[in-house]
Amino acid sequence: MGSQTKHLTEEQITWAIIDENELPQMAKDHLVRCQICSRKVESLTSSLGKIGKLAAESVPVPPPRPVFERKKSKQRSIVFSWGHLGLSAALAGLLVVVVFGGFQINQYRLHKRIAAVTREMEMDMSLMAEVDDLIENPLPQIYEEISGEDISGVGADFMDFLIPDVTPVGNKQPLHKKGLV
Amino acid sequence: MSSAKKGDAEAFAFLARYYWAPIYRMVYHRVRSRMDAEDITQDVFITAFKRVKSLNEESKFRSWLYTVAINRVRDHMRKRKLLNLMGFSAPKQADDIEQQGISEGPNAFEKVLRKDFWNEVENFLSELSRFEREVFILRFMDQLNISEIAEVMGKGQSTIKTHLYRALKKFRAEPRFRTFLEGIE
Repeated sequence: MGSQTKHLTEEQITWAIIDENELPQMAKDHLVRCQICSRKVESLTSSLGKIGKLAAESVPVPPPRPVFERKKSKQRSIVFSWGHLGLSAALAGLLVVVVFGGFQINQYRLHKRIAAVTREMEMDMSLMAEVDDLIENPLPQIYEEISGEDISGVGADFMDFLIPDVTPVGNKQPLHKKGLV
Repeated sequence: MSSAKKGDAEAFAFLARYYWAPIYRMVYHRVRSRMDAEDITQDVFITAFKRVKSLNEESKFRSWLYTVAINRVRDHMRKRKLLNLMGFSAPKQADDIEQQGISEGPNAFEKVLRKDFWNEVENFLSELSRFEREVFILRFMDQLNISEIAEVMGKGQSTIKTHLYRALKKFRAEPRFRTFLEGIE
């Protein structure tokens, strides 16, 4: 009685389309007897069948190509050859940029380093020249002019001659070494 | 079949002629371009000929062929996506499915009907997940049975049934597409 009155659920209707064997035996028996449920299944099956039919009708199949002969259409091959050509050109360009750019960067760095070393050497030479000048003549030009005497010839020997070392007696030191002269 | 497995090109060419139309349609349903579908179908049979020796069960040739075709379609989609990404988009084909139907349909009503049909299919399929969509197309457009779909997809039958159930549930909840289909004689 139950199987005759209790209709299939929506879920069971769907399973009946996928695989009727998935239904419980009671539902299978009901489906055989019940026109309402079997009509629902038929209606859905028919709708789904129309999808396949319309899809097949909408696709006119061209005659089979010979399988063992490659035959590409002209338009397609142009598209793809342009694609490959563009890709190859882009890669080649990138390679040139990387190699040439790298070389240029190295050159630039080398030039910069040489310039820095040269500048440093010039500064060192200028400093050494100043030091040499000071050794030759410790008194700057301006003081020589103020004193009105040219003491460029005055050196350590002349000072020794002018104020000779006197052998100290006891703890006595020469006057010029005490800073009194 | 056994001759084709031994490398007999003639025997394989016979098989290719027999399966050409269903494989071509299956590819066409996915790529929607006549030129691409022709190229891919040819590739499918070339690949199949090279690998047919590895097929253990001759009875599974049909589902195995569909597996090869699905893989070729996926390769094609990947390539197309990559070309689009790089800016080398293929020119829009004038022979997409709607226009194909229009140019070759017997009368104006059928032309419009086919165009509407593909629009409805597009709308409905966009609501399905990738797996549900593939299973639905294989079952109801390519007309494969559950065990064949399971072999093509490399999944168990129960998995296929579950995904098909989900797809059908969405189909039943889509009144527009159902009404459209019910209105067709």
